[in-house]
Amino acid sequence: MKRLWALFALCAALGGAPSLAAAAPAAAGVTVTEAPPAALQVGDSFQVSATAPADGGRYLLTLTMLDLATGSSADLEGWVPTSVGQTVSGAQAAASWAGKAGKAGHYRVYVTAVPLDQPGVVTSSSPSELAVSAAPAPQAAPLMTVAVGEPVVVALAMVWVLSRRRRGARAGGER
Amino acid sequence: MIDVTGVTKRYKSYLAVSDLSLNVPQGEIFGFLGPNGAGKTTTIRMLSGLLLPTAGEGVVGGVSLHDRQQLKRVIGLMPESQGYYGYMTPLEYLGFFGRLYEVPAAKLRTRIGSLLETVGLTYAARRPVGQFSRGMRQRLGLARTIIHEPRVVFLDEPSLGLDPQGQREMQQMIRQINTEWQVTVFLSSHLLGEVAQLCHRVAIMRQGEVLASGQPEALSRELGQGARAHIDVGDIAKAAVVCGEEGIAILERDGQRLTVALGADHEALPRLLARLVAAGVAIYGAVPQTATLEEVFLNVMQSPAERAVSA
Amino acid sequence: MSTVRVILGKEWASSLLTPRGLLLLAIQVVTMSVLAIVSLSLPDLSLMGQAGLLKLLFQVAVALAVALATLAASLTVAGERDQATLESLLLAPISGTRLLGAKWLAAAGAGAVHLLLSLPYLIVMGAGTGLALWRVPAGLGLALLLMAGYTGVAVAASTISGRTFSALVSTLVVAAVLEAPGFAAGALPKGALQKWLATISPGDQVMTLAGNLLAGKGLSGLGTSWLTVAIFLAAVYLAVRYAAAHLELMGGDAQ
Repeated sequence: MKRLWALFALCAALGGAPSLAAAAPAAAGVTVTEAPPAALQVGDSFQVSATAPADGGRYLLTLTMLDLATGSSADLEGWVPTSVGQTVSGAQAAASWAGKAGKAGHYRVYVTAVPLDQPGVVTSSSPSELAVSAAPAPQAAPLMTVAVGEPVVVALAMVWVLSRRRRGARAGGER
Repeated sequence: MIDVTGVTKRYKSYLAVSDLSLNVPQGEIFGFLGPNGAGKTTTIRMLSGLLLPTAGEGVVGGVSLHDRQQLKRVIGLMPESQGYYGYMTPLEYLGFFGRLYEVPAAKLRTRIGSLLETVGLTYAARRPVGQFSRGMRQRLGLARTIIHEPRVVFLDEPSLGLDPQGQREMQQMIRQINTEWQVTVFLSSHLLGEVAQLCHRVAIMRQGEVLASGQPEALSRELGQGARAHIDVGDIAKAAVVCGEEGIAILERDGQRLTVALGADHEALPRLLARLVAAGVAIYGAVPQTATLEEVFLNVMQSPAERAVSA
Repeated sequence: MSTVRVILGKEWASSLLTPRGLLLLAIQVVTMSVLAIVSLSLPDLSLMGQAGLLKLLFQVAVALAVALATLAASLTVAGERDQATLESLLLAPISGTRLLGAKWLAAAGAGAVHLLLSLPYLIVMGAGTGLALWRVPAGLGLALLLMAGYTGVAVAASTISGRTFSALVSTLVVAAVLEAPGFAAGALPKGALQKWLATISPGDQVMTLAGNLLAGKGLSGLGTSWLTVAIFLAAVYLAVRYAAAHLELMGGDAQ
């Protein structure tokens, strides 16, 4: 699961279809019904939804997010799988993926449908372009200044209070 | 200065103080004696406004027992086990309580100075109280008790846990605040010698009731087991016969010394001495003895039945 | 009012300028510093985004400040009783209500200092997120409501319980009973029960209000949260009043 590049949704025909040919309306290919925003920041959430070809067949829908800089699929670790598409009485099977942008870069996002019941054509949706910019990061210099400075100030206050008490004790001890 | 009648404190079924009546004039040092659990601390707490009496009326320092907030302004109390803020110095400690009693700032500064002088802590004025010995703490507690110039101070076992030197110093300070600061002192103590030396009058309490009260000497006369005398004689056997003829009881024989009981008859001792001389008994010394406060206390503490048995 | 000021001064001195008080302040700033440094160095945390980190740091700052101030407050009366200093205080011409009120105010004030010390961390963390930075101190201001509530609980428990240990335990029990539904709600799937449980917990509701501020949203439409906080504070006020009446009795019943 470490280098999982896609989340899978199984589109299952649940009955009402004696044969794929009989139930199949015209196949329309894969359609992305909810595309990710064109621009995101690291850490932002987004969702992708797509429908399988509406021919009554079962399809495996795969989301691919291609990192254009490296030419490889993006690491989707930490993403949460969401749904399994189903075709009911000829209705379209749909699947959704929710995730978070984990790394800055330019991506191409598309959904692929692989037929499960018989050899056929693997179809893909039109790709969407996605630009993920780096999220604003805490400013290291001021944060480190505070993170080191405040404990030092409190430590100095402790030393001052304790030495004041000790001085008082010494002065009080002298008759 | 303290005038209360019928003061009673009851905790559910437990009667802590029963029908207490006291009258302590201004400027007096009044001793309050009793065994543990006699109700001394409860009495002091009622008289100082910490507790409301279940019944009874009276005034302390001119303020009613029931007006507790006002009462707290005119009394000072040094509790038996008093804690201190160890991180404070005596200046801070007395300053804190002085401001709490709303002593004006300018007056408070001079008051703290003179009080520290009185209790002998000027040299340690800037030292944290946490480093003080018990004696020093007790002295600071005494200063705290009178920081707001109370009319009456209640001292509950002020010398408890002090060494003889500390006890002596505490007694001197109590006498000093009584005479120099004109404060009426209500002193509860187990140190009967201390009470006998300091107090103008004493009351003895047991199980919530005052059994006896009066001047220590009067109590010794009235409640001690009568006057007695040590007589050193040449012929103790002959002297014993004379005592028998005079009807005087011999309490103890020790070598050539007789200890005899004289009762309440002030003429008994000179009459006995005259008879001994007449009988030819050589007399080397005769010392009349009065009962100590301790003897009075122990005598009063015995129940009537116990007293009858010991008699 | 002057006697209240005197008690306040003494309480602040003991809760902020003594080794114990300074140690509690040190715990607050060191924890915040460690979290800040970790947030810079751990890549996993970067997934939260800076706004997420700000929220996390805010929640830790508030929870820690409230916990430490509540711990100190639970010792305030019981500690005096244990050290035998309470009798001297009760002898002073100040009513129990004022005495406890001053101690409550002092405890909440000391807690406010803990929050104030956390403010620089939060401001620096919030800078650059596009968030109006006034929202950070405003969020901490809301957290003061929680601070006032729990320090009040601790002062009341400290008075009624008698001794230090039982005061600590009873304060913890009250806090656990009040906040457990909020934690349970966090673990449950969204629904009516989850929403109802979250509503009970004052901590959860104060965090909701402050979270809205830190997310750049307004505070309208959060009537339930305000109501929970108001009921909590009213109940705490009554508990402190009850404890004050109790304090008068307990001052002298140890004969």
